[in-house]
Amino acid sequence: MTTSPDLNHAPVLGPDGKTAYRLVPADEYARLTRAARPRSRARAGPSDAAVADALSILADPATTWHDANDVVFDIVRRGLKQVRRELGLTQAELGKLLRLPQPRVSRIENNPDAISLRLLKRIARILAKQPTRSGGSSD
Amino acid sequence: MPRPDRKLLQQVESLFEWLTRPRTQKRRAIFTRDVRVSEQARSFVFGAGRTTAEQQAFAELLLKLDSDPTRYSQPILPRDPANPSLPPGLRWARFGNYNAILLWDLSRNRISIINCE
Repeated sequence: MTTSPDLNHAPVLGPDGKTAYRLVPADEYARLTRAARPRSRARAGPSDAAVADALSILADPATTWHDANDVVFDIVRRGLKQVRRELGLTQAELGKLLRLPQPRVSRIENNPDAISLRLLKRIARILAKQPTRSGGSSD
Repeated sequence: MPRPDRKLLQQVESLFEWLTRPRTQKRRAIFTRDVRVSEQARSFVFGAGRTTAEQQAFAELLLKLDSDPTRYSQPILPRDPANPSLPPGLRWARFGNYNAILLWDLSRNRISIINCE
């Protein structure tokens, strides 16, 4: 069934004449119920299976542990890459803004050791000031 | 081209606020405690289907746990009090739509993110 855009959020009145329901598209309904689900799971906490897994990981001497500093930097780099792409900037264009050559920007995005905190902060500030562009971007 | 996700930009900004709090430029100064992430948890966070926003929520959780482990996580209690087989300090915390299970070892001042679901 196709839904007319006019019907989206259309109110259904109750006996008192006030809005009792609203008609929403199925995908929006799914999104809303997905958004509501985690709250109840959050109260419940992790599943027994996840706790059992955690205990076996803890007990396993072969478990590999990563320094959280490296994990956080990796996440921040990936975030910067996504923001650059969403802003429609190429690496070369970002390099121009940062006064860095494109290969350096590529290294920053792909190698966690190629960036300092100071530069990371500078990149974030420049990206945050960039207006949206309609064109595509590439590496 | 979609509009840039303003929430994402805010998350990046808030991460940088966290990251730049220490006066030192050394990367190792981000965490004040010994915070580590298991390969299983790391694979989950960087696995297919995880968005950048969810990864950043994980990073924020790490930073919050470092600031106050007990405030930002909940204890996992044994279901059967007669069989308390869970190690002390086993806790869980929420990031995005997921749960992280962690061990808070007070004696070593260490937080271990064990796995996620």
